[in-house]
Amino acid sequence: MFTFRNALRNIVRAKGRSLLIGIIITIIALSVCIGLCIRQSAANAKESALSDMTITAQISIDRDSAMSKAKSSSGSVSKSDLKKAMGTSLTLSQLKKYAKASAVKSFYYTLSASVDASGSLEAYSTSSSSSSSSSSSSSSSSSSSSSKGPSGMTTGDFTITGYSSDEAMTDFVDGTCKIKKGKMFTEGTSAMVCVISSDLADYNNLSVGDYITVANPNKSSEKYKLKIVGIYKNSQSSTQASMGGPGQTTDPANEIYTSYNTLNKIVTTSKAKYSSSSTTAISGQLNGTYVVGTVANYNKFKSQVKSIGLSSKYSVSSTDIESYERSAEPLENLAKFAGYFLLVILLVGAIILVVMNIFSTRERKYEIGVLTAIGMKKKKVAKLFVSEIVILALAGVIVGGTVGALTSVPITNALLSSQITSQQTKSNDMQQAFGRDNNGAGPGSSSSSSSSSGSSSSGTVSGNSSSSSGNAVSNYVSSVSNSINIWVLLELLGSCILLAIIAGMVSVVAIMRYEPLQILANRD
Amino acid sequence: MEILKLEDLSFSYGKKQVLSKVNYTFETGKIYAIVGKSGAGKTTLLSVISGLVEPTEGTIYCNGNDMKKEDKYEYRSKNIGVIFQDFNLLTKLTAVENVELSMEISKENNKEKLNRDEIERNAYKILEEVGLDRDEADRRVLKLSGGQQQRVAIARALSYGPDIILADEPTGNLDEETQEEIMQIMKRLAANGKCVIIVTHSSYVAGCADERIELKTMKKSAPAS
Repeated sequence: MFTFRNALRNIVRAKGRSLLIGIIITIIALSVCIGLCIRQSAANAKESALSDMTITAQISIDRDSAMSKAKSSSGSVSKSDLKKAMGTSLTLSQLKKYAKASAVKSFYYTLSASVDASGSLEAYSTSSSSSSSSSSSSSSSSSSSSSKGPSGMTTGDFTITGYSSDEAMTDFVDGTCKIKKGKMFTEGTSAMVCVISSDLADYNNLSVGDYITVANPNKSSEKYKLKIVGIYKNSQSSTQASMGGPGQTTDPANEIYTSYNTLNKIVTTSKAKYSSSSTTAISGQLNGTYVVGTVANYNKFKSQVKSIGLSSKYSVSSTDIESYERSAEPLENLAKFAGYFLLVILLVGAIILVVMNIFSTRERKYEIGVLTAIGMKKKKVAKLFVSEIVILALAGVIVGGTVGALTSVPITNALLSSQITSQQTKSNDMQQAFGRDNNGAGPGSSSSSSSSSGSSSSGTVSGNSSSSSGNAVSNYVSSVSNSINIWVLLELLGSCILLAIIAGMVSVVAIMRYEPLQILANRD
Repeated sequence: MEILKLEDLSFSYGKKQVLSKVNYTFETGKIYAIVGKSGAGKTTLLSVISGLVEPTEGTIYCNGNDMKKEDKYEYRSKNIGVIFQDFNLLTKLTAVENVELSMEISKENNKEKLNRDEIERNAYKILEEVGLDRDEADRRVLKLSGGQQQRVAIARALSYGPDIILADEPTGNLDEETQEEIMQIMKRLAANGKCVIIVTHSSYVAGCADERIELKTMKKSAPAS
């Protein structure tokens, strides 16, 4: 109490000095508060967005690992080694084995295949130069509109996806797609039925009850007839399709949905027609989706699948988390910048306070001499001096913290906005450099944005890998609110008190070295 | 009554011997005047006695206790009151605040309870005893005259009731009238049972002392008058 009261008195007596130190500490506290708030905003946004999401995980071939394994010491990649290292896609039974992990809440799977239009059916296209040629190519073994995909798989006019359950149809679950006419096929059916997009239906003048014929892109004479039981409307416009390639397959309108069993029947029938070594058969891409719910469960799932026996050739990933990370990139960048800014502020602040305290202690040398000469112990004098700067630091934290709390949100939003603009400009420049318009160019292409206040989430999330593959449309987290919390305040208080103590140590060292008699004898 | 005893006390600044084998015993109720030529070590002796510097050799006994074993800060804030030649007051404080601070330090060192009202009341009372009224007591030290500052320094030294008062040239730079007033205070202190040790060049001050000590020999000599 004695120390505190005298420290307060000294602060009041030396108004000029106290005011100067107080202003400096307030500025430091304000800057630190804003920096901490930005970091906290990023953390809050991530936490709330991820907690609001139902995280799903997928198991896929670890291409990076395979590539590095296949690389020889000279750096060249052997194709045979790469094929060996990549292994094969997991079968349904293998996928189901990992679904037994305790972290998995539910499991669903999809089978997708690429097929060509056949008969009068034409793939929906907004580009006049890429109209379907399937009708004219019916006699050829390979459709002219079909193209070889990167993995050697032939890409046709349509993507036909078979779902294991209603839960797997995430576009319908999240409301991106809605049945407008007819109804959805029965869950688990193996009947040759499908639902098509309203765009495709209008384009081909099709309605519920009509039949469409699709063909093997590698052999147009191999045809399959599907009955349309429903027509859906996709709220995601075709212009939002990702930069998956020039084919129509990537257009959401050309997606045909059916049951897993139906598509599996088609794929199995096709396979049976050709030899096992042939690549002519319709090949299906099986994707399993494990609903794990939370990030913690996702991490648990990653370790559990390894213990169940997942080879290192495969890796576990989550499109939800990846999608969020893309959307939060500007905020994360800003948080990183805020971290460096914090370090600089603390360093510069410490230097300024230390230098000021050196001068202040020298100026008060006589006072130290008198106090010790009349019996005040050196450690008490040191405590008094440290208390003075700590009290000033507390006052600085209160003022700086209050102003910081009030201004951090608009400042963060302004910085975030400029960060997003720069990110979008970069993305636009890239698109222009590639000679493309700026449609469907990943996160940067999205004109809409979302805000995060600890409750709202960001980013569109595709829970299903088949529907989301190559579909990277995401929203940026463009605004934050209410980023200050008790931890920010404690960090602010802690850092400012630490600075004050570091500066106060200068006084402590000086006081411990000073001898009262020497000070008083050399008063002049 | 014996209160302070110097036994073979020596002090040197590096190789320069300032005090050599000083032996003396001080009693309560007396005024001692330490005289000697400039550089004889009068102020050094005062510094050694007040615990501001450690003797290079010898022992100081205060109330029979070996000072080497005592805490010097507690000693300076309890047993001994030092009146410095240049007063050494805290100039940003008022006269009463200087006295109060000294009292608080003493109480803090001796772990006594701090009663603000009591401290304030006693500080004004002591200042009044040395001749400073309330108005003067509330003035900042820099606004007081030399004589008034000296009174504040005396009041501060007396504030915690020490048995020994050490004064270094307490009347230096003061006019004759003020010198007399200061010495009256010193006499009153001695009459109240304090041991007053004054380092001085002034023959007047030396003449007021009960015992006059020539520092060179540390022998008792008769008062000047």
